[in-house]
Amino acid sequence: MSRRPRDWKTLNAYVDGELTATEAAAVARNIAQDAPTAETAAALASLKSALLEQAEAPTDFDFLPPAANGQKPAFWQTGRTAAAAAVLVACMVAGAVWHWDTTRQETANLQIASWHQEAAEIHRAWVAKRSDERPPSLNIPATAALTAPELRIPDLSDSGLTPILLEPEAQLGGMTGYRVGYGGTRGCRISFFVLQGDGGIPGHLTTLKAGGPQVLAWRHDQAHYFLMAEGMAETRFGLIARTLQNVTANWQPLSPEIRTALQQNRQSSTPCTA
Amino acid sequence: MDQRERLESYRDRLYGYAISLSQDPDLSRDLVQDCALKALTAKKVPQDEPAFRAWLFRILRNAFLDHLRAADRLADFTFDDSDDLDPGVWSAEERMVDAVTVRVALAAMPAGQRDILALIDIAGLRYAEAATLLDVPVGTVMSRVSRARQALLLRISGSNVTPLKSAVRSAVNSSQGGRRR
Repeated sequence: MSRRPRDWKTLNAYVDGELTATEAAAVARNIAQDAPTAETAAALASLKSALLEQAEAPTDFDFLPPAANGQKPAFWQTGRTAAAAAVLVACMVAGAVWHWDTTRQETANLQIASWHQEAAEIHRAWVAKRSDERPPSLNIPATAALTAPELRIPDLSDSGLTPILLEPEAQLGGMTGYRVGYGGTRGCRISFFVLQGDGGIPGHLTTLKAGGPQVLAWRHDQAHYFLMAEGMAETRFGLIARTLQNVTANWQPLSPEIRTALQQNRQSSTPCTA
Repeated sequence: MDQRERLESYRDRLYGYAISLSQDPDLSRDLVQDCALKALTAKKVPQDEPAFRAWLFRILRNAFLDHLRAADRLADFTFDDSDDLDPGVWSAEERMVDAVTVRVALAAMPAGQRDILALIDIAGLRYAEAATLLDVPVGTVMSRVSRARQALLLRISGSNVTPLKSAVRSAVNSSQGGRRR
């Protein structure tokens, strides 16, 4: 049984509540008098309801960062904070974005736990070997996109970190790629793994927690990224991870806002304690 | 209601809009989180609810467009307004729709059609709000909505997903209870 509604657009607008009172009354009369039109209107309403049912976020998805001490950020309340401070708050929130989402994703997955352990051993061995050394500058340009596209080293100088190690043939969990070691002047060391393979890491930032170093991981297409540090302030580590996640999505240079946020976050953070 | 509570009330709709656009759960989480971050750190926030709602979904939509732009896929995101609207034919028994059927059919639609349906039926925007967001006349929104719904119904009628009668009844009953805005 086929139907051709008299005025399809008007009937859609009626179901959406977008008609004037006069127009709506006319359509309502038509519905009352014409069974096919009434069926069509009912079907459209049913379709709208089914579409609305698509609006359901996963139960574990908390998309709002926790407010500090249950309070809103200060600039929220006053609206007078300077732009630089707002950027700093934004960067703190960015760290919280990482924290609130990823702490819920502490995974018991044995494979991921194995990666964590393997990565931790690599990172700690490197840190132990260099613990007494002042970080030398590595003779590689620290830019977001350099040399061959398969060997890219993000620029973290705004966070006080410079590349001091390049391991071109790194391996982790059966995946292969490279590792960049960054060093700061206050004891901070970061290992950044860029690996290709079938790792199954989610696209969003995920915490790998099995004790020991902080590890955040994410995936973009077939590339898996692991970021590891120890003793670094949580918000700083989270902001760096968030920055790198964005960088690895398109390998574009950092925006001025992000660079400012990294600089200010670094200035306000404590030295690495590990 | 403070800003966090306002945002929280849009949690499901923001995610629903993001997943409708991207069809990618991970990307949807990122988009909604970025949207929340920008909303919380914005200097000026619309006070009245319709303006706030449109502003919020514009942030999310722009974030998605940025993502497409970075992936050089922005051209995928269009709505073809050139086709004449044909009310089409679909039979009464094919009109039974449920959430699962709609999800499958929606995922197979062009991004532009998903966008307009999600803005109206998931985000809950009025035609005028969607018109402002999309920078098109209200009449264009009206045409796009009706055309996209027609396309969705045709996809549903052509799908091999069998609607669940109980879900259909539930959907119909819900629709009789009015819109959720």
